[in-house]
Amino acid sequence: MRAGDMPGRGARRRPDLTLPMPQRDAPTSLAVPLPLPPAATTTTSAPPAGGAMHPLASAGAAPPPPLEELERVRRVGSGAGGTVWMVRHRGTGKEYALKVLYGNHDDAVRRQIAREIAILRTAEHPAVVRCHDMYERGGELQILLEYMDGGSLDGRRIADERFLADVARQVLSGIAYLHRRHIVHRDIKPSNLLIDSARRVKIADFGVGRILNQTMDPCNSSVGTIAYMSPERINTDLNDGAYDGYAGDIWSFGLSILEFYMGKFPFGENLGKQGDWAALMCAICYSDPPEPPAAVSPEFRSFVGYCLQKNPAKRPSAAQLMQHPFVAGPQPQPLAAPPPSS
Amino acid sequence: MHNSVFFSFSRDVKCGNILVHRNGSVKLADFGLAKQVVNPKRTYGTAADIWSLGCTVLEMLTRQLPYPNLEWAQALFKIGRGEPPAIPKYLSKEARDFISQCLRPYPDDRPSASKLLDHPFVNRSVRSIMSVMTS
Repeated sequence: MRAGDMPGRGARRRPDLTLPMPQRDAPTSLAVPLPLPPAATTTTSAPPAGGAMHPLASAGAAPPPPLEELERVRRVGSGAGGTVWMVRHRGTGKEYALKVLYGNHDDAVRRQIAREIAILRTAEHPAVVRCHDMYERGGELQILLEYMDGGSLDGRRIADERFLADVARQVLSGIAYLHRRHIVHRDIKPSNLLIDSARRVKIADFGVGRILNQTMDPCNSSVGTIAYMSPERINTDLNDGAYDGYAGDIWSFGLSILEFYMGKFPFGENLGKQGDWAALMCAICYSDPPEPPAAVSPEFRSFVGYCLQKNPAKRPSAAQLMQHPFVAGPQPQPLAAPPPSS
Repeated sequence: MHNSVFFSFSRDVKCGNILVHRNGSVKLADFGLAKQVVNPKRTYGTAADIWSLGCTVLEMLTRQLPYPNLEWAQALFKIGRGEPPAIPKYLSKEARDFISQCLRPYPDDRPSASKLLDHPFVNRSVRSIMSVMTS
């Protein structure tokens, strides 16, 4: 196509002079809700035909609804730092999740959250919960998110390796996407992995969760926040105090996947739930990484082993793990017999 | 009157709450060093307030939280392993000694509030205040 454009450059310059204004105006208005306006503009100017408008028109989804048009249907959860509501847009009937953040934050924190939301709104990936908008009313911050009707995977057991591999693949692709965009989640755990009725799995509560964790009173921090931290994140003597957030996310992911299979917190059921964070920290930092039971497939055992490498330098990246047979290869056959009860 | 201001910390003060919580992790020292199960009957005693006092004095003098470069989970872990926060050398000898006595990992090793009243760091300060008031 470019070769064909070469000889006609001089001639086409004149028609372009008459076209710029109407073409640029239309995509500009459509590009406002688009995450990448420059790319959209480039796409528009390339093909002069009117057919180019269709992809832009479809890509330009409706802008997020105003807060006043959202009807609170029911409360679906209370997490660290906020309450989550299922809301419905009165005009379209579309359902969203609305996260209302606790308390009044000082201006610095509010600005930090607003900056973080601006980044999150540009994150578009099938395994990442979509962040649509943020509202501020009377000092209260509210974030409009994609609604996942299946809720979180916290407390769920997934003993079928085929299904578990599908979950792992989806979450891993979401982590790889975030890491490619230099976004570290820092709080990957079962309660931040959401599922819908079509069995799509998405990562939630990144960005803002990190900010709130920084400003949160440690006394109110739940043990669940520590439970999925990697050893080198807690113990600064490991790795000479150099903490790699990407490697930390891989540990948290691997521990979550193992928990889904085991149906309990891998370091011990009591440790993950009760309030003794001292014993929990000791277990994470001093004991060997947990392993799956003997009955699992070699692929699953290997996969978990890579994620839970105590040395973060030996932990593969998300992109590397996407090539692992457990998530990349043909799916293992379901086990003929249930795993032995220990 | 002035003395009571110095020592009017309690576990209800927000800052004190945070520090008392951090002090609670001294149980980790028992667990980590002795490899024993944490004693669930162990509760905070008056020595916890002494720890809070040391942390608060350190914070006031340095204008930053103890363990300033660490995430809160890392600070908890340090406390639990009996690693008190660094005390800068630009503080006076009396201040450094006072704080280090308050921040001993084992509660029984910490002095009581009564004994601390005799420490030069606060004792001299009290005398200075009184001399200013009388002049």
